[in-house]
Amino acid sequence: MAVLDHAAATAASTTRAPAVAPVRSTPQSLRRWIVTTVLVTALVAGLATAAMVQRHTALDRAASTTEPLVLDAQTAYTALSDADSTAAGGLLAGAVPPPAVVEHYRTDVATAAAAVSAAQRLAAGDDQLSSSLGTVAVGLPVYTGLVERASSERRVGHPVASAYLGEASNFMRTTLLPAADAAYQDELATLQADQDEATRSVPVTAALVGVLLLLAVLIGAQARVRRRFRRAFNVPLLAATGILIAATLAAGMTLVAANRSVDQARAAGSLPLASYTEARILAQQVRADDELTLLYRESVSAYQKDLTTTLAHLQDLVATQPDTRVTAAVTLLTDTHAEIRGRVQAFHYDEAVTLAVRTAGDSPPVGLPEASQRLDGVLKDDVTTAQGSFETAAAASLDDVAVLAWGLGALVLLAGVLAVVGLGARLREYR
Amino acid sequence: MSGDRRGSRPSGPVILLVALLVLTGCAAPTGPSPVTAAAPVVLPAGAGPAVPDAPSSGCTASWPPMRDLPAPGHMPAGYLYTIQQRGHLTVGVDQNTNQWGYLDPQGHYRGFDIDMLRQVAIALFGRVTRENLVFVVVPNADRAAAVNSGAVDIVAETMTITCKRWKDVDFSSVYYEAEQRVLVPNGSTITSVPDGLAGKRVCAAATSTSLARLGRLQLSPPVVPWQARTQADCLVLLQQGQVDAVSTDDTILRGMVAQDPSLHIVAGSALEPEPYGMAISAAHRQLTEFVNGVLERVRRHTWAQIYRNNSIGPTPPTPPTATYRTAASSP
Repeated sequence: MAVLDHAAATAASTTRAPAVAPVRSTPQSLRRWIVTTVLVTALVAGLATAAMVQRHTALDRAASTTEPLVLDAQTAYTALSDADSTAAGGLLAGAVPPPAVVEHYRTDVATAAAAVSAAQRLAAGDDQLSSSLGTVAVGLPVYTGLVERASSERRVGHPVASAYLGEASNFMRTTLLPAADAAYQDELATLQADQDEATRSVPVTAALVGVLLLLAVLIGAQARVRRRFRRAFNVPLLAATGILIAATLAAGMTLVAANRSVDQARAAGSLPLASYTEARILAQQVRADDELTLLYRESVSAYQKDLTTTLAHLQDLVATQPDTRVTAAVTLLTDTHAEIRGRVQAFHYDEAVTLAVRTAGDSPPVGLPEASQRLDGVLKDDVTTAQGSFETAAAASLDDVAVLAWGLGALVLLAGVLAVVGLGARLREYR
Repeated sequence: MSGDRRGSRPSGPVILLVALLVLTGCAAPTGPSPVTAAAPVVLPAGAGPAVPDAPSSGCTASWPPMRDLPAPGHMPAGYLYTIQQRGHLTVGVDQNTNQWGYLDPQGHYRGFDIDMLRQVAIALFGRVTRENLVFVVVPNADRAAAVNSGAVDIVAETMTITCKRWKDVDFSSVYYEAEQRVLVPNGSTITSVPDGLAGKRVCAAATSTSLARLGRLQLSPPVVPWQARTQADCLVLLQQGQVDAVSTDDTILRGMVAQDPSLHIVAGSALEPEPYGMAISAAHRQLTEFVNGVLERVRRHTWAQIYRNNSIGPTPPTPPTATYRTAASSP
């Protein structure tokens, strides 16, 4: 400590040296330059390493924990919502639902359960997230129990089947989906925060100022040595300066590239991912609402009120991410919904049900499952593309910053050591 | 409002439980605690404790019947003539209520309500065909709207005549006298009505006449009325043990027993009569008068036969008496 204090005092006095004591002995002056170089080098190496390691940590966390959590939460959310509409479609199709529909429902439930359990492993320590995931984990068997009850009542022809499915769907919409959505939104926000941290400019600016300071010190030392010893070049000092300039340029370019990658991950990855996921959920809700309306024919208005807002929201959302395939599929779903609605309003339930359960491959008009699956298909493609863009961009930025994390600090240190060696050689000439 | 009720009730026990936990927590050595989770509360949408509407029964008097019914195919000028020229009568029915309005396995509409409508069609056209009697399935909540929008000419769908509903539509004279009764699980402590309902959670469909009646019962402790969007939701709540009983028309309750033999209808006196009438738009009073004329004839001749054909009960009671308002009196 005392040594450091002494050194600091010395360094401080050095900066004032020209004004206070114009004439001083050469060895003493050289020693002061050496001490200054050592101190500034240590400071700058520390700053640079801290800035780079912080970036790297944020990017690494985004890639290894936050992004998998976003995907797990998104998978659980979409699968749950899909299970809701699939279960309603199965019940509407008849006493015994088509095997493909049963299989689809079971896959949805299994996918949701697996995604929640995977997310729970990653979420350890995050109380809010764990609580949301816990709600889904505890509620899922309750939900499937109600759906099974509905299908067994349906099989023996009891009208109460629709009421069990209605209760299951209500539980899904008021408890499970909001919890899955909360987990998903939580993680999206965390990802955003990670990305913000990975592109924060303050630490990098501090490191850059530090590097410039060190450069100034080196140039100052070079000028001093040149004037005092009348030698044009001190090779180690020159090398140190060169290394520092090269390292700064390389780091600058790498950081610009990494920032661009992070922005790319956000613009082509996480933002569209969020929009498309939300659109998928809304599209699935449109289908489930139509099916429930037909199943629950005693209270038509309740689900249809939801539906109008849902459709409007879906159209707004699609407008923000223009994609002709999505727009066409939304139009198809909206038209199919309108067809079903028209038949319901004319009290032609049989025709409405036929349209609502008509499967792919039948002659036109397109049925509700086909219309909904077409939209879900293109949105799923877009989700996969966005996810791919995110992963590529995130991996690129991570690789870039990984090199810098320790590399920049090491180069600064190397420059500092070379400078000290160069100045030390001059100092030895006095002995 | 419903949340407050449910929220405030367990507060006493909860405080005790918390106190107990705190006490035992202080005394017990710390260690790993077992994971616990409360079972989630699951309800049908819109279900919960209810504050019933004001009563609105009565008003069974309808417009006087057409004195001499015109011969089929010779309808007088007015809406009846319009229907005759159009060639078909459009009727709103249920397709899910056993014995009253349902689709048989061959896809034909059957039930007491359906048979009453067939009688009207016979009086209009002389005979019933697939073409001249068009069935439209109308949700319970939309019964009045379906008549008023012109989507259907008549609705016959276990619809209780009330003063409140007379404000929306006109009713025919009473064609069946249902009763509000109570459905409970076998082994229930509710063995008499209404006394047995004291302090019990009883479910009825929201905005139903049954729910209003529950609210008027003077019992100590009072009945806890629960409402659900549909009667089927009430059945779910009863099967899950979330309510102690379901109360609605005996006609509907019999359909529930058919779905779950572990339930039974409490014997004894009924809570309230539920007179069924056909709903017709107030704009078509001529049709109401015609229907009332048809019903006069049905009561004298075919009512008992229709009762037996639909297995409503072992022996047909006396058909309900029709009462009529004078042209000057307001509903």
